[in-house]
Amino acid sequence: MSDRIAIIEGPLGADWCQPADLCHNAYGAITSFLGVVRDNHNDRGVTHLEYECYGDMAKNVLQHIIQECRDQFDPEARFIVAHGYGHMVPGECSVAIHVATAHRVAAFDACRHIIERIKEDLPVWKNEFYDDGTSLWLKGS
Amino acid sequence: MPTITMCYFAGLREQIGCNQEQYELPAQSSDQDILQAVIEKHPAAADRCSRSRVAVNHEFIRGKVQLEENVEIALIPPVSGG
Repeated sequence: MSDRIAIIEGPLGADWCQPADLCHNAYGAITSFLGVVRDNHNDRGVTHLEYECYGDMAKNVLQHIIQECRDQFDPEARFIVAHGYGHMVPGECSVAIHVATAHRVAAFDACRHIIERIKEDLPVWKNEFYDDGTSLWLKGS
Repeated sequence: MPTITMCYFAGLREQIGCNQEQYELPAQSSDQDILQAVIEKHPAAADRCSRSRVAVNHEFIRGKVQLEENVEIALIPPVSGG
């Protein structure tokens, strides 16, 4: 079983939002995290987001982050990680992370590690558009 | 001096007004040297540049690196994925 890593135009579809590909008798734990576009931020109504991405580098960064998880939590872990870019509206899924490991602690730790490292290093930028017609590039979170 | 492609993203791209430019930089350059070259060409973007990291061929760098001809460099403003 190999990892699935992708940078995809548009919101993530149902095939990325469930971990079925990771189900295997060797893995006793699967954790999942989905990042979903909200309709509000700092008391402002959000109409949509435009994610910009440095695609070639983003794939490299995800590979590095997954290797960190293997080194720190479980060398046998398997991963599905995808991030979308482009236009997204509230309720759509922008990031999906699924981790399969033998035991639960490593699965929780690796899933949390991946989303936190995405927030630090993945070259993706969120331009948030508000219901008053303005927009703002967000700086980290 | 090698000619390199400098890539810009997000608010920095909008402020500079293009996705990428060509620069000639010394073959031995540091991340700070690279940022300074962009600031000299685009002084109005100095604040955004100073808050950006530098990637060479899709890897973050710190300190000096060897730049080859046609290498791709990117200025990475604070990211906001997720």
